[in-house]
Amino acid sequence: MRAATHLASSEPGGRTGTAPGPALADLMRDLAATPPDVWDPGVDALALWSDTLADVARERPGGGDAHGPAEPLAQLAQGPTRAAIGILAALLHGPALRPWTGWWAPERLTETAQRMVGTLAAYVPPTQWVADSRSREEAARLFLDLLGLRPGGESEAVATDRLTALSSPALAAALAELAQEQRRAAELAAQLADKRAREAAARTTYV
Amino acid sequence: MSEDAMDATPARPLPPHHDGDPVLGEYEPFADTALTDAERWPTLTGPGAARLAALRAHPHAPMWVHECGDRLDADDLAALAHLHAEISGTEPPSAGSATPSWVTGLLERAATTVPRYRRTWRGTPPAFADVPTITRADLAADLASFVPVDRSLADAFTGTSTGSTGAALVLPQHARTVGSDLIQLRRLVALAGADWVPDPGRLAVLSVVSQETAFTYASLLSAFEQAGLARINLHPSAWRRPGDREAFLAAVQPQVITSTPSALVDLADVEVALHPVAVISGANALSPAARDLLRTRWGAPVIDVYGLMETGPVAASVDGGPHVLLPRDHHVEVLDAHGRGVAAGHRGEIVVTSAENPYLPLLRYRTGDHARLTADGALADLEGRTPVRFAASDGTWVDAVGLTQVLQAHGTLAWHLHQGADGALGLRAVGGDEEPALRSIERLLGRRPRSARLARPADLGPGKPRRFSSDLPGATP
Repeated sequence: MRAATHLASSEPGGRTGTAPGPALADLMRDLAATPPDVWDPGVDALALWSDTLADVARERPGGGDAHGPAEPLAQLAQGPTRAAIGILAALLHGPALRPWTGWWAPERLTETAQRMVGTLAAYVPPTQWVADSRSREEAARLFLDLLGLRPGGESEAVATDRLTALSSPALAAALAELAQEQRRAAELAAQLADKRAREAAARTTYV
Repeated sequence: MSEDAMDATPARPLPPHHDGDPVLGEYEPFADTALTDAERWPTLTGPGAARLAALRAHPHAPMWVHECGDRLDADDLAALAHLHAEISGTEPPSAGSATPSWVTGLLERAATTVPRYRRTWRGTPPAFADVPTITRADLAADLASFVPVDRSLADAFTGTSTGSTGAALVLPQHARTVGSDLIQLRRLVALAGADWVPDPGRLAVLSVVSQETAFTYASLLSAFEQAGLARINLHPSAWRRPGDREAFLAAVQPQVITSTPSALVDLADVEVALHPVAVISGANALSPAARDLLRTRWGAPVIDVYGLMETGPVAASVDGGPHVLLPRDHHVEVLDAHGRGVAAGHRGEIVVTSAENPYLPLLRYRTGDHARLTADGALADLEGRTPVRFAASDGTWVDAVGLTQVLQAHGTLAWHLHQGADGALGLRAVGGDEEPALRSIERLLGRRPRSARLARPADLGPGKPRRFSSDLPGATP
C-alpha cells in the first residue's frame, strides 16, 4: 500500500514528514509567471507531463518506460483540466523548484498531479490558481504539501495552520476530499492487516 | 460421516507442517486464526457444531493448520437463497454483448464514490466505451483509490491474488460475494446433470491442494445446511500417519471435489475409491487429457471454472466445450490489441466489468487472459495460466505453486524459472533476496538454479511475463 499524501489537520497528533521547501513567495512568483501557452487547446498535456517527468523526476535505475508513470493522467489530460497539467509542469520547471530536480520518483509527481488536477481543480478552477495572490498562495501551499514540502522558513505547525485555517471554502472542500482519501487508504491498509481479516473465508472455487 | 475405529498404530508426534523453511512462517499451525466459531459461522446450529467437531477430531484427519468459516449471517443466507432461485433457470449472459443497463448505475456510483473515477468524472461518467481499461498494476499501485469511499470496511477480509508478475496482491473481500461461489457451483453441477443435495453422511465439498505447504481446515457451508467442507493437502507431510490420507478420504466420501488440474491429477493417483457427483477444476487451464483422465477415474462430470481472485468465477465449461459465462453482475468483453471489441470467431483479451464485490467494483478490468469469442457469447480456447511443474533431483514432481510461495516469501517481484531437458534450472528474477531464494529453491528441488538478476519486470520479455517453463516431458499435465 503506497503511503498517503501528507495532509494537514485531519491527522491526529499532527503531521510528520514535510521537508523545508522553497520560499512561498518564489513559488507564487513562478505561478504568476505561468506561460500563456498552457491554455493552448492544441497542447498535448500528457506528452508535456511525460517530458516533465523525464526532466525533473528521479531517474529510474536501468532506464524505464518513459510513458508509464504519466499514464494515470491520461483522462485528466483531456478537457478543461488539461491546462492545470500545464501549470504544474511549468512550476516543476521553474526556478523555485529547480533545487529539487531529481528529488521525487515519477510516480509521486504523477500522483500529486492527479490530486491537484483531479481534486483541487474541481473546486478551484485552474484559471484561479494563477489569477490573484490569494488563490496563488492556496495553490502553491497545497502543491508543496502534496510534494512533501513546506514553505521555506515556516515550521510544520505554521505551514499546517496556514494551509487549512486561511483556506477559502473552495480549497477547504478540496482538502476535505483529499483528507477523506487519505483516511480511507489508511483504514483499508489497517483492515487488511488485521488478524481477523487475515483469517479470510473458506472458498469453494480456485480461480 | 462414518467414524473409523481407532487404529492401533500410534500417531507420530506432530512434525512441523513444512520442512522448516523459516520463510514460510505463515503456515505455522493456527497462527492466522483470530475469530470464534460463532463469528466464522454466524448461524451455527447445534448439529452444525457437532458436525464440525467430528470433522476436526476425525481419527484420520490431516494436521489442520487453520480455521476458516464463510462468515455468512442470516441476511446473507436470505440473499443467497434468493440468488439461487433467481439463477436456477437463467439463460447465461453473453460475452461481447451490448452493455447491460446495470452498468450505467455502476458508472454513476464510481463517478461519485470511487476516488480514481471521482477525480476525472466528477459525478458525470462518460459512455461505457470511453471508460479506460485498468490492469492489475493499477490496483497494485493504488488499491485504495478503487475502493468506494461510502462503504464501511469493518467486515472486509483478505483475498490474495498471485499475478503474472509474481508479486501478491491483497484485496478486500466480502462474505456474501465469496459465498455466492457456492450458489454458482450448485447451478453448474445441476447443468452437468448431477444431483447435489446436503447428505449428512458425506462431506459436501472437498477442497484439495497438492503442494509442500498449504492451509488446511475443517469447515461448514452455512448456505448448504451447514454441510461439511474440508480443505486438505495431499502432500504426505500434511498427514499424521501413513494411510490417514486414504482413510480420511474414504470416510468422508466427498460429494464435490474442488481443486486445480495438477492437484486433481495427483488425487486421481491416490488409492482410494471416491464417488463424487461432480469435480470442479480451476486456477489453471484444464487440458483435454486431464479432463478425460479425471472423468474416467471418477465417472463424474468435470467442470472447468475460469476466473480471477479479483473478479471471482467468470465462466465455466461443463463439457470441455467453450466456457459459458456465469449469471453474475459481470459484463465481459473480448477486446483486441486496440481496445475494440472483437467480432465473433476472433480472439482477444478478456476484460471484465464487475459489480459483485462491493469493496472493489471493477470497470473494464483487463484479465491478461485471452479467448476466442464464439457466436453465442462464450469464451473458447481460453489461454489462461498454463500449469507447469518441476522435476526435483529425487525424481518427484513439484508443482510450480510451491516455487511461487518461496519466491514471493523472499520478496521476488517478477521471475522466470525454466527447467531444461537435462533438468538444469535457470532463474531470471527481479527484486527480492537472491541468495535465500536460491537456497529455498534448492531445498525444494534438490538443484540450485543458475541465476540472472534483472532490473525490472519488462526485462523478462514482451507481453505477459511467463513465470515458469520447462523442456521436460510431463511438466505440463
